Amino acid sequence: MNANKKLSINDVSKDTEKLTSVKPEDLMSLPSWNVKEEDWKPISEDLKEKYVCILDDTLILPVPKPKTIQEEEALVNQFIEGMRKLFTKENNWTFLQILETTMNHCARCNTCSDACHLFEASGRNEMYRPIYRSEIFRRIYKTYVKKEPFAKWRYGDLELNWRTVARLGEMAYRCNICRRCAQTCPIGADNALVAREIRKIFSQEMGITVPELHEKGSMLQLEKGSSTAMTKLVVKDNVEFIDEDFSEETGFEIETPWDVEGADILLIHNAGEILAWPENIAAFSIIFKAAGLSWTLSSDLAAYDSINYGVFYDDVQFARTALLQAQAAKKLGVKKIVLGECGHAHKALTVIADRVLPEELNVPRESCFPLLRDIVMSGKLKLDPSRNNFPVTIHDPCNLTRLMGIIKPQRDILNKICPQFREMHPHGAHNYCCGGGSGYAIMSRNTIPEWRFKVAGRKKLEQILNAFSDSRGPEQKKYVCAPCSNCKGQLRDVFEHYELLEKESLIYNGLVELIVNAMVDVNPGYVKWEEE
Amino acid sequence: MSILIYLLGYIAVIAFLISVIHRVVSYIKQPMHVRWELYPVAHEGKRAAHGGSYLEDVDWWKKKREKSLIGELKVMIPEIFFLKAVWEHNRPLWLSTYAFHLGLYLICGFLGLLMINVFAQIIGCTENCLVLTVSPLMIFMGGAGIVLCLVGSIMLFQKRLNEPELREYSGTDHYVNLGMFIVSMSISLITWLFVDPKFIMARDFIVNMIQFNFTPIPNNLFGLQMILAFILFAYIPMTHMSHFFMKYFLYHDIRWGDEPNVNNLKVQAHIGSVLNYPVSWSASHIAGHGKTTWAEVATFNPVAQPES
Amino acid sequence: MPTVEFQGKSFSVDEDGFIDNYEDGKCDEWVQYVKKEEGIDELTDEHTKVIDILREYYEKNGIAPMVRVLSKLTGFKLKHIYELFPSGPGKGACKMAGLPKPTGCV
Repeated sequence: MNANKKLSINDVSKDTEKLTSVKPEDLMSLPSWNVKEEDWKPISEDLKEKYVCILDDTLILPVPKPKTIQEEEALVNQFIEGMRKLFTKENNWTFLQILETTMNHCARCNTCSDACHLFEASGRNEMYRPIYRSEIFRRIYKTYVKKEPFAKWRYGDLELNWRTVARLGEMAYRCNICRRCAQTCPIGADNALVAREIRKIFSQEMGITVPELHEKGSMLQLEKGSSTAMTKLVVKDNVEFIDEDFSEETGFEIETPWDVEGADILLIHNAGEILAWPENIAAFSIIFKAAGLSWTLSSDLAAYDSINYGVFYDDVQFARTALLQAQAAKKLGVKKIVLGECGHAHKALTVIADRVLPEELNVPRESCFPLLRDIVMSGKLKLDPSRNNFPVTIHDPCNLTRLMGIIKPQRDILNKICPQFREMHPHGAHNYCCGGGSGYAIMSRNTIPEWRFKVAGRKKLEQILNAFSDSRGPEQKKYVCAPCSNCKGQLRDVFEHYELLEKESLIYNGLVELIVNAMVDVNPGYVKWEEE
Repeated sequence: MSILIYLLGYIAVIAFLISVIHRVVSYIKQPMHVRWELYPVAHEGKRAAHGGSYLEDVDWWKKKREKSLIGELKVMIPEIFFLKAVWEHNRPLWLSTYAFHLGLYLICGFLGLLMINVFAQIIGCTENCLVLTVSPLMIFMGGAGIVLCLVGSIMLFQKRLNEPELREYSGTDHYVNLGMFIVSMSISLITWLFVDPKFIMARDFIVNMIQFNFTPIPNNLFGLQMILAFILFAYIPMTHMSHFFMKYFLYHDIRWGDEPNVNNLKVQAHIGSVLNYPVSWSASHIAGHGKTTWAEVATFNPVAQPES
Repeated sequence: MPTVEFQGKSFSVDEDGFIDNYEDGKCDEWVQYVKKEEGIDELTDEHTKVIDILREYYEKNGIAPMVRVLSKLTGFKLKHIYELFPSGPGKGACKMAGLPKPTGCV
């Protein structure tokens, strides 16, 4: 019996070097896989000196290490103050109902445990059990914030010290917030939300954030217009370059429209696509032109980057970004906003913002996938599915499927244009997260990549290998359709780490690339297995 | 002594109602949460089969929304009556929790039938007509309900105590709750078997309660059963077991809460109101700019650059 | 932030090893340091060309160029850039040129 399975709730407060460690031998095994995993690289002394590194072998949330008893107390007090605010309607009207019902009604029955890919991949490490984190949070809430009579006795005692707080903050970043656990709950409690709410306390009250999400993420978006730091001028320059480059490559002239007032559609891409996956940008421009749509991009602040990292950790940053994006649409007078291939942006602006945007900014918003489905089905594009005659599977981004119910349009397209399309199991609303969900795909500090490969991304890797069990090996080219920037970032790094292009001829990319690859009016070979 | 038991009965009913109303009202009075639905959403009609939503349509806001009650029932009935989620995701727990819940459902059914009997008696039906109509079913439901609930709560208690995965997450509240069921149902079982096998005493007791006719209670064991049952009745909605009614909101308002803001006056009024709530979060990107309401904070850009 | 020492100079870098202050990286010691870290045997004119173009682009635009833009500006195919900088244009070339780590979903 592995020691980590015996981890108890009260261990979170103890003065130990680490709460737990997932050892290579604990990891879930993968089908026909002979990669020997290494143990964790140690966290540098320098980091340990500055930040609290006492959860496991990774540091995601940099909580400054308290140096004095006063600082230790301050950490606890700030956290409790934040938790108190979290349970007021004024400060948390967005999620109070959901959070409080989860606090009150979770039966702690463990029904959700097996739904969690992290719990499974880590060899059922107790820390990853969805209710481990929630139960710590619940005990603190009941005893120190709600102060229910006999709370300690009723719900279990928990020592609240700076270690508890720091570990809980870091533990909020050991969850992809994919909400697969919530889906299985017989009562309807949401243990994934608890992770997000803890992140909110750290960000909104304590000012402790993950740099990739905050300073280099949502703040950069507000400052420069995009989390990529592309300004208005740079982004237009880059897209112009993409237009020229891909017009030449594909033989299909494109000129991506900018700031067209009165266009029907404002398309918002994840700006990361422009830099990292320009073929996605070009593919949209090609398809929309071929379909004869009236559309535009916007060069307004935050409106040329659909990202909204606030979804992962901060309601205020969320609202700020969503408002800017809606304002841009309003200014152009478009009929609707269409979101490009980015899962969290889809959910942020279409669903969550639905009860945040004031009526004057309530511009209709929709996903690109139904639109693409209608285009593909309309016959406006001349398509030759034989150009896509290689095994293709689809990875469902959680935000699109489990959290928005957009499942069939992608499949209608793939069934039409990919003769060897096959599903992963499970898929659709019951999919597994890529492992990059809630922001990890853009993090590469210390051992975060190791964690993403070994633990967070493991279940998805298993699903992918299983989907191609009939065509393993380097001889057969294979394609994972992952229509979401964040998921692509995760798959890119996992594929590179395990050399899946070399060993399995396996690539990933979006959905529009497959559509363009099948377009007769475009030079063959839009989808590439090798960099040129 | 008897009169105290009657009194406890009134208190228990009132306490039960207050707890339930309090929970429901405090939920409803809280501001409407942002949308956070989870698919499959049961009322999505045909699409529910693949977990889809109205967002799968182009210009979805122009289309008429299907909202299928049958779809909801198709999920709710197996969930409520067979605990489908536990069956699917936590099979080892299913038998014990199902025994417990089925026992409770049977007891609820029994109480329903008992109340019919009670009112029939109050309006003057004769003993014979009552026995002939519902009594055999009522006795079966009452007896089976007590037995199943007792067996289920003992099994759950045992599991919580002995299975490491459950024990770690079980608080004293779990053991107290289940313990109360075990004690109360044990006494009820003995009462049913040896004192009141046809629930005549129970019926008469409730008739008396309704008519404020505090006839002495004919049997001590029966009296003890009533005391325990009343305490349990008042206690349940104060605990996490209040999910038996709060689950309505957890499912219909949260998990399936996909109501879009399309000409939705209620949502618009809500947004207008919450955006004027004061914000007191302390982090520097929120506080310290002289902005106090959500509307002010959310439209303020702390790192805005001058227009170039 | 951690600091690295090389040939008598010290540089403050971020957790991914990118230099914190762009101006500090405009020296041979930084380039030599990254060369060593990256396991590049010998710096050629081609390396220098990539570095110069990256710096010029960054100074103008405040961000690293798209890979395809870099490829066009240098005239090197991406494959060749990977040969020059085994960690790739982002983690290798940009780091050597003293650019900050790319941000956002890239």
